[in-house]
Amino acid sequence: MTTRIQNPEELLKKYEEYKDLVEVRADLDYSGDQMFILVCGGTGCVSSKSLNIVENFNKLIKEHGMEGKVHASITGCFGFCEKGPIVKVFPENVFYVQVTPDDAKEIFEQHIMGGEVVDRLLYVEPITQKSMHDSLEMPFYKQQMRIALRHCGLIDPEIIEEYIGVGGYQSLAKVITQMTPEEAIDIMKQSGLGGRGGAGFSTGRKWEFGRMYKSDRKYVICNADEGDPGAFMDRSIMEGDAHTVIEGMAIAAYCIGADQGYVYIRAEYPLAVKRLQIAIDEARELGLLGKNILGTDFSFDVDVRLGAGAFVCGEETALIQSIQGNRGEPTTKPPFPAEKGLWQQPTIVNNVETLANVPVIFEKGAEWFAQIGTEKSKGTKVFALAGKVNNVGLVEVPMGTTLRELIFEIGGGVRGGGKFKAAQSGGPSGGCIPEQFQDTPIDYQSLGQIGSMMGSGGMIVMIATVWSTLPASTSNSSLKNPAVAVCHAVWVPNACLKFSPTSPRVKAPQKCSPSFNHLLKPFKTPRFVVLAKPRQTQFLARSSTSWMNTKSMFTTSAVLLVFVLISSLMRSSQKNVLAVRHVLVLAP
Amino acid sequence: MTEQKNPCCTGSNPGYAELDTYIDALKIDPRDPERKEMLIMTLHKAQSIFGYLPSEVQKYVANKFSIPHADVSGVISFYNYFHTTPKGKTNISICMGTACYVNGSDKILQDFEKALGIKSGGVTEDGRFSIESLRCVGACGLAPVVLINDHVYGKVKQGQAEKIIEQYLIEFGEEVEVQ
Repeated sequence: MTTRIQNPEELLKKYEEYKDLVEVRADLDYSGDQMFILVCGGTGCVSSKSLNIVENFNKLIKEHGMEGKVHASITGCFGFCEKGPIVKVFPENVFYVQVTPDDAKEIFEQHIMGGEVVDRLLYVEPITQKSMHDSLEMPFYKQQMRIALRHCGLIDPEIIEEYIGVGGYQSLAKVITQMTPEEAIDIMKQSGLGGRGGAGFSTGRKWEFGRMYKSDRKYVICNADEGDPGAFMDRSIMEGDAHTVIEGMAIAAYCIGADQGYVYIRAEYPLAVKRLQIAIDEARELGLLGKNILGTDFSFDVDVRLGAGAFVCGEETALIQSIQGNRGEPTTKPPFPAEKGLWQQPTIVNNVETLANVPVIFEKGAEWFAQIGTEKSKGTKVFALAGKVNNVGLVEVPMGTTLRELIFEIGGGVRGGGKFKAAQSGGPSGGCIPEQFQDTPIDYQSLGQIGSMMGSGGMIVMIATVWSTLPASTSNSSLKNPAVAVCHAVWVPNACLKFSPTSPRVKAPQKCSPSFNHLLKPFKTPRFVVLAKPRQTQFLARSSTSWMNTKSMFTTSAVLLVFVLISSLMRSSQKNVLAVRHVLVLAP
Repeated sequence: MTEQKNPCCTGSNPGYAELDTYIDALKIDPRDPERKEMLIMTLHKAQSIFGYLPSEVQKYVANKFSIPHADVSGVISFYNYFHTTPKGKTNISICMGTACYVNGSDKILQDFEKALGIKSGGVTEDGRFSIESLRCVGACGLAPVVLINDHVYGKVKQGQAEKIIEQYLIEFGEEVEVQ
């Protein structure tokens, strides 16, 4: 039985003790004789038998009597999912791709014992045809800045000692022993961190609201119901670095005065659920969760709640309903959850990636964080590159990086030599961004201006031969939910627009585009197709996710549109209108 | 959909004992207005025990939580993850998330439908296989993705359906009698 960590000094001592565990991996100038083999343990790589690879390595280490000198373990997602399973050897930083369990022997004998890199398994840069020895030189990693993903691919997510060894829980210790909740909230506000679930609302301000409302019961909820097709950063964070999320939640709880937290996670992510549960149990055992954390008056505990396959539960009020054991139907705001959330008590709901950014802000300071990114969008954003792109995987870049850089430099360009057509950002409720907007910097404001949205960070690349209405039709089914009367807005070039505020069900202008009727075809189900200008679609997109911002965005036409729209939906549909979402489709 | 009577979930099935242990540990207070908190978790547990949630199980759970059967049924019908009819022993799910879709998962689905002679959502007559389409499983790096029970098969190509089923049965499947 491990003993509880009684105070911050003891935690610091543990850090000193475990630091060596990870030093060989984190320190580029490491000069000791330890070697570390890390194998990706994310869902993608596990499905390609990465656990057998670790097993084989451990067998070989034993056979050769090299325990204590060579270590092999699993780690979180390296992000380079396309080429999985990934094996990384430290301290040289050698990056092997598409390794099979049988390759373990060759790597072990040739590289670990013989000191010679196995060229066959190195990543070959598709343009220069050069094999890459050092992963840090790969274009995929070179331009990335990993903050939320900082420990993914560095530590073993199932061993809390490794997290403590990279300085884990020090931020929590600092906050609960040296700061008042108000001071901590101020730091969050200064950092400029915005909600990574998509809306970008200031996390510091959200916490401030949570603090403002008085109650003896308050809750912190981590929204891990990552439902947007194509987005898997939250899954990877939980699989690779669950403790960061728990630490972030604990800090949030201290700030608002909560003592109970929930992680609401999709049932479709069994591995993430398992790792999260392990992390919670470990943290409890060491007294980093539970009563009187680190000898202070602060008590906080976390429980896991499973979702059950409802896309709409990613919306915070629906999520709260689901935790209460009800059908996940959204409720109207206000009251916002910060005032009346779970069981009518003040509740704040934060996204996984948002929470993963929290500990690092307290570790390195608000100024450090605020200097990353653009003027209005601070920090980094994790994107899940998927679809027809060469380097499918998880990338984290500073806000303000352009789409072109993201897709063509980090992503390695379009796969199969096709012509780039559009990239869908923000999942089904976001939009498809065509080629002419390639140089748009990625931040909350710029994406909003071109009619799309940041969303949770899925970025699905489509080529010219993929008919953009097809993903729209799958989105349609993805959004098909008894609780959501879905409205699809179709964005067509302004010239084609015959928008009439009194009749939102505009028919396709005949002369405009011959393919227009095709565009509408996938919407066979009685959904509504509305033609709208980008600004209005932007409003619609946001109206579903963030009523909070609507005040500032109200324009006369948008108000008109929404009211006409909702009333017509109410009239024509048997169901209650609870959310309005849209899909952008690009006319050629 | 008509509910099928299944001998597994009626009468004295040992599954109920397991479910009881789970529910008893929750210490549900019938007067607590917040007692439904663990309902969804309990339904997950029940489905993992019985394979699906027929009306008997629903009533049983409702009784334990001291809530109307309609509440339980309402929750089950809302969430895609719960189902009230049995699935095949080997359940094949094809991801229809956007990333998989642009990589041709609709054709993969057709492949499997053809291989087993059933449509998506259906079960083979002998109850061994079923096919369904699934929401994004977040393994977009491996698109298109097929899940057989809990095992992920990535980068599936057209024409591989039979091979994948075979591979699964060899690795994890029940023993098949050769006649």
